[in-house]
Amino acid sequence: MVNVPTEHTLKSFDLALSGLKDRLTAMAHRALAMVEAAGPAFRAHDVDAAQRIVSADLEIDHAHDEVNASVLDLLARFHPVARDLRDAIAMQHIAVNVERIADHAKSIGKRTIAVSGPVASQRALDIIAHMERLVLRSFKEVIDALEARDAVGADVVYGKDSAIDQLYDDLFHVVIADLQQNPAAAQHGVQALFVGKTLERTGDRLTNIAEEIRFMSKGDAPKATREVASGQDGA
Amino acid sequence: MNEAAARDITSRDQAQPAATPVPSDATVRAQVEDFSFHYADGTKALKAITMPILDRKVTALIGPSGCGKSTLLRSFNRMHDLTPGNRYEGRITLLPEGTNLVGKEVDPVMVRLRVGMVFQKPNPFPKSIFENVAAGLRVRGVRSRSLIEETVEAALRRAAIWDEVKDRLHRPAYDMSGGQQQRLCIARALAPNPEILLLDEPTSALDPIATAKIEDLIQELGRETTILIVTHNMQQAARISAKTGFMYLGELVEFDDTSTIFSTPRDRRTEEYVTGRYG
Repeated sequence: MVNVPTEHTLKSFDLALSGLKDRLTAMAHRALAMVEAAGPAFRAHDVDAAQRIVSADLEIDHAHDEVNASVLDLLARFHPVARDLRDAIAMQHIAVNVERIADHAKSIGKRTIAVSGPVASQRALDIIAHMERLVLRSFKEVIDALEARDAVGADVVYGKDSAIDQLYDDLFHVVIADLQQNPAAAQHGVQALFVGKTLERTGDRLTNIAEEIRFMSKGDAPKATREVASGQDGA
Repeated sequence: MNEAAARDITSRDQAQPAATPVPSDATVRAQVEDFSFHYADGTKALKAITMPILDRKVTALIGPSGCGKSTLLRSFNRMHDLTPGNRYEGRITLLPEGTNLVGKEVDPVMVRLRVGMVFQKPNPFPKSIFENVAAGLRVRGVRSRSLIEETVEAALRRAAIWDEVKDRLHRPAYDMSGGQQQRLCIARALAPNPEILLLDEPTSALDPIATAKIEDLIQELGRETTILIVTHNMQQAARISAKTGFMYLGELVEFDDTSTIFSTPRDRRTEEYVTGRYG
């Protein structure tokens, strides 16, 4: 019995579980593509790309509905327990977080469409680009960890979230300095802060997903992995 | 009859989930200690089992066919004594007084008077409903008609069948449905107020509605009676028990809060079994 680690006696159970996982990972890859496109679209003020990102959010909403339906079907038909129950619950929670990440990317797209002319100072854009790189790397890592059901792989995301938070704090101070030098650029500064905050929230969502993957794999209840330090949120 | 005994114990507003973590200081009603069992042919069916049976809680034993769960259950009332050559090792100690239920010095008939049992298939006696429940009292020497009538009614109420049979107590038990017969058997086992109630797959022969009634009943009885149940239905174990033991090849692989066994079992073999990856 020890050497029967993956397959259920009931093959349809395996099919339902793998179908759920496939839908979720496909949804995550779609959301990743939105996040990958959102930052460059904002920095280059590419309105066409931004409109495609906004439209893509509808696909994510539809995929979210499909994941929810698959979870309900799995619970109703197979009454999962232990790792299967953890998987089903965690995947539903992960889908919520992925859907919110897509909303964040859509918000960046809408902000790109709304703003006119140069979007921020170069210093602010460089920080945003750095945040994007960390967010994208974390997103790819959690998708890999999800596909492999790998808690260790998910754990590496926690450190990056702290770095993303620190970058947002840096961005806040850069924008304040920019505004002091050039009050007329207030609109652009606010847009840059908004995009930075959106990326920071995306990092938080990725941390949530990493915690869910750990729960799937190890059974540890998701817990706060980030400490709130006064003055660190930049707000 | 006291108020508690008179109430309908299956009332839904009192139903509580059983599978909540048990406090670590819960009272132990019986302690299984390094307990092994050998059949007369030399087969060792149970291997050094150690586990507590908590007072006024439902404890479930799960595991694949042949794992020893029914063998362990039946040791509690010395049913294996009926076959010459069978042998117990270790102890099943009834607490707090310390009687070893499987001790050679202990009369198995006396053990069965203290430990009630309900079987897989309903097995009422070919007698009236009333006499089925009264039988255990008469065996114990109770002669007072008023006491017997009072106790029979209390037992039928505790078994959540009083309302269905109160107007036909002297009709044959065989006239009842399968689910009613099983609740009658539970009433019969409850009447002498056993210290432990053993249930050996009590719903495996019943339809889903009768099963639901028995499950509600077991959950309610578990508040006032120490119950040990063997079931192949893992969802049933998850629904009604506070503690669950997973057995495999005569060993107790894992024993823990039911909520733990069905959410985050510690042993890989337990997880493979409860998730349906065994076999």
